[in-house]
Amino acid sequence: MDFFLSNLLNGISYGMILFLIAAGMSIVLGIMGITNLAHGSLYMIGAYIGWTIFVQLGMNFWLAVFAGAVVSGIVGLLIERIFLKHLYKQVNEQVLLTYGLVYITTNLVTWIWGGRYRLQFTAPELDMHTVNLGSFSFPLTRIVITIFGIVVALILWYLQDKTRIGAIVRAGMDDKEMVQGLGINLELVSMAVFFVASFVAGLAGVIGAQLLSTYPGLGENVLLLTLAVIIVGGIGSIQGALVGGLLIGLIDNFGKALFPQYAMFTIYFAMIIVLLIKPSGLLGRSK
Amino acid sequence: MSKVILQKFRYSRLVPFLFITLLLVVLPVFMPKNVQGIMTKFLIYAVFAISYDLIFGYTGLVSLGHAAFFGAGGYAVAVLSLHYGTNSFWLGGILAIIVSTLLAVVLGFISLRVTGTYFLLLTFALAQLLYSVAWNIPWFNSEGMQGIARINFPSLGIPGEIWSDATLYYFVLVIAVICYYILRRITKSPFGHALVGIREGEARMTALGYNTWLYKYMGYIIAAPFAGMAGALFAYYSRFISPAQFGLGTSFYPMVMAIIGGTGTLFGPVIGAGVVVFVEYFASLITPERWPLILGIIFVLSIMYLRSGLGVSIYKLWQKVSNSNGNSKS
Amino acid sequence: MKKIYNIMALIMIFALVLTACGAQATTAPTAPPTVATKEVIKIGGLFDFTGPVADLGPKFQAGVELALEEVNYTVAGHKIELLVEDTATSVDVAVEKFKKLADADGVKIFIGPLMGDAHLAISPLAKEKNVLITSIVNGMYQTVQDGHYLIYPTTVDAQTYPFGQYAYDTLGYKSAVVVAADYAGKRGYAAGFIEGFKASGGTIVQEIYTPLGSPDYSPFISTIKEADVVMYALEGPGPVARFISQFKQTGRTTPMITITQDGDYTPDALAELKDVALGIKGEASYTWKLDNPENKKFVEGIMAKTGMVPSASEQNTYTLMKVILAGLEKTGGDVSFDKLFPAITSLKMNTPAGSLSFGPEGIAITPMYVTEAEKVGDVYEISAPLFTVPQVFDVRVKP
Repeated sequence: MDFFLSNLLNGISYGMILFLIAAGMSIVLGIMGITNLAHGSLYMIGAYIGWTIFVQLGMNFWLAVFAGAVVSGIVGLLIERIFLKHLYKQVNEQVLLTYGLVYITTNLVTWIWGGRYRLQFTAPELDMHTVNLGSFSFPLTRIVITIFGIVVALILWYLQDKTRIGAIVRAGMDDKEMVQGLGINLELVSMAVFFVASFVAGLAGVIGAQLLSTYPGLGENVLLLTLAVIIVGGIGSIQGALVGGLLIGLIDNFGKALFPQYAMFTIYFAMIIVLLIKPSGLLGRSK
Repeated sequence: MSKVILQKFRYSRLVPFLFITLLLVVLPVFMPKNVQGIMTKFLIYAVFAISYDLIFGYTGLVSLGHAAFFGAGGYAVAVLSLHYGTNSFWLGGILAIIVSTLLAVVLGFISLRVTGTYFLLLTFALAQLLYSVAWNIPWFNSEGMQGIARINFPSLGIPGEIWSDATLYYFVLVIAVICYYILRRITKSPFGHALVGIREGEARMTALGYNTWLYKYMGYIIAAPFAGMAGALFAYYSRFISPAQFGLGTSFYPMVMAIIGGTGTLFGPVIGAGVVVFVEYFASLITPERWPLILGIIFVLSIMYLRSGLGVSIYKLWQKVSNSNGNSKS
Repeated sequence: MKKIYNIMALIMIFALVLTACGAQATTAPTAPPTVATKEVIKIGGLFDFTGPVADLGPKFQAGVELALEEVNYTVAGHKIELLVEDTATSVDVAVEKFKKLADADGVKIFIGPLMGDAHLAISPLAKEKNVLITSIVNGMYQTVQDGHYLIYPTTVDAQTYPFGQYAYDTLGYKSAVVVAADYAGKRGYAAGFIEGFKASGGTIVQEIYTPLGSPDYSPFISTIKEADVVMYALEGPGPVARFISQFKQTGRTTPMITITQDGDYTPDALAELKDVALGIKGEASYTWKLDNPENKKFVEGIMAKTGMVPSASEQNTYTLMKVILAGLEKTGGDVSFDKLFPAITSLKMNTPAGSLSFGPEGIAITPMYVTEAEKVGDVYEISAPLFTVPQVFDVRVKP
């Protein structure tokens, strides 16, 4: 029972981090049609800013979370304004450009912060504190991560489905001319969406840094995980990213616990099976 | 009048041909061993890149798993070396071609069930699966490491043959030229034109009666053995193979090279391969710590300013020049 | 019309420069024409400055440089030139840089690279080019067959064998769970521990191999069976810290031990790990608190150079460079492999890490220590040895 419970809770909390990372990319890719491979790097930037604020400068952890999110949001916005807005619908160019940005950010990060792996960090009030659940303890940090994930999911879902902005964004991707014809400044909306996506990525970076190390290769490694999540969950919706994240988190945890020798395979198996049965992902919009 | 055309033809074709021959055939004789090595690496990736261009540039299939065939070819050679003690190119090369083609038959069938971004993701996932297989299965690994080492230079079965970095270079050059020529013939054939048609407008092609899925599938299968051959040559060049040859980084190379050089042109990816391989090498010598930054900046700049690719830009420039030259002569 | 010719001319010049540069480098470095001086000796350093272990590169380089500074970059009347290349934590790049240094720069003596896989790939090439090459943090037994490697401090499995025995004999653990990173190097270390532990009479209850870069060890931890001790061997300080914290967070109280602690517990890593690291004993090939004259001098030198106390990284390359210098003294500056290798393997010397000698096949014979992290005032440091094995032998070569 312990085994099941601990893996379940661990899987959910890990899956929440995956959701937070993937949510932004899923929206940007599915709704704006932009392939941004540097999304993982935005996560990484958030983590490093958070590290600088909290570990190096010794300031408040929650401030670090906010700072990481804001900086990533701004960087993301700059990327959109300077580069991506010129590449509307040109997938190849977006791929190469953002891949180049990955190279650049990884190296800049190494230049500024050094190549060493930075250890996990968390607020002192959370550090090594656990909650007792029967015969085993569950770390407080994971509970915080889960709560963050749920809150962000609710906010984003509300924005997406229940507000006018959300409707505009969804319509804008399907029919750009029509939306512009209605007098809506699509560029502004586009900027806002990209900012929010990057903001969430940066937020995820600091929140996730409680669990994962921070290092220059983080951007690329996170990208792989993000791809897995959006494949399984489906592109273009918050619900998809959430389902994808949780599923991958659970499959990863149970897979590694039950079949440790196949640890590397489990995620890829899941991806391939989903892609073959329902290619658009479990909650994706069928094209 | 025909004399003018003949003049134009000879001039605009001859000079680049001479130039390329000089660069690829004559100069390498005078280059030091390690530069010959980099030229070899450039040719290997050029073959990989043109193989990718067939499905990416010509057919419009954005695959992120082309490394599957590159790695398969490399491992074919490596396994022959490790478990059967042979470095015969006849065996290794043929096995690489067979394995990568068969792999394409299976992977292509699976991948082409979906399109667009899903195709991208599925090809990626399948290549990663092969990565895990290569990493985990002991039979695919030399003792004590991930991957297979101690691969020797290829052997052609000619008595008294001696191999060196220089001979390997010219050997690879011959193979590369052959691959280029074959792919050129394919792209200029009706089949090749059909692929372009599918890229430009699949619905239209279907309406015209083409079984577009079959064409895409055939294109995917035909591209694979070239990538497999590139992988085999890579094994001979590096003298070892590792799971990284199935990885995402390897799959990105041909895409990056094709885009930088100009997709759908075949010579574009060759130029792209040159740019990437040489910049990577020399930048890392000049600035061992900052070279990825330089490479990334080049990618970004080339997208922002050289939209159709470096190769295409050079070609267009040459066209303009030779046309104006031809006119002034008449 | 001019433009295209300009481009072509540019490419031609580029290619000619390539050829010229390289050709120039392959010719022997010429001495100033007026004075007849001896040939410059080139040492090649292959370290990682980018990639997951990027912070180790500068440490390895510092060790080599300190040794060279002590002799003013001169040996047996020859000047020494150090050429360092980045191997980017990639086997492909390591092989390329090796070839570049050997072919274009005429280097005949190499220190590094770090990765075991790279050794296995380079070893046959080193034999072909007849150059001398050393490992920098243990090496792989499979390279002995090519006979061109100096393996220091010893092979990966030999390094941890005595520690396996120590765990049973001295620490009194009868059963163990082994958690190791799943790649050849760490598996080798784990194998050595397992052999030693079992040889003394212990039982290995479970072996878990974790994928490289695992973000989360919880699933593996949830399957760890009951045993007297958990032995972990992971890729670096990040994974180590993660594993230890996550293990402790489950409320389990099983003691932990580790290997290659000198690599994981660098001063900067300990400063971040803090209390998490305390109380875990580990095998180490070096600790800066060793009490011998060579080490005192060495620690002073590194502190002056880098501002931090040394870890095994600096020590290993420092000692290897000194070994090479001693060998070159013996051969009178002759860098040819056939003279230098036997000259080195016949050496016996005292190093900061303790006594050093070599087997004829190139495997070093050095001590092994057991250390742990301790808190001295406010600073977290690695301790002095709790236990010493004066000489470690690889059973496969011991006569």
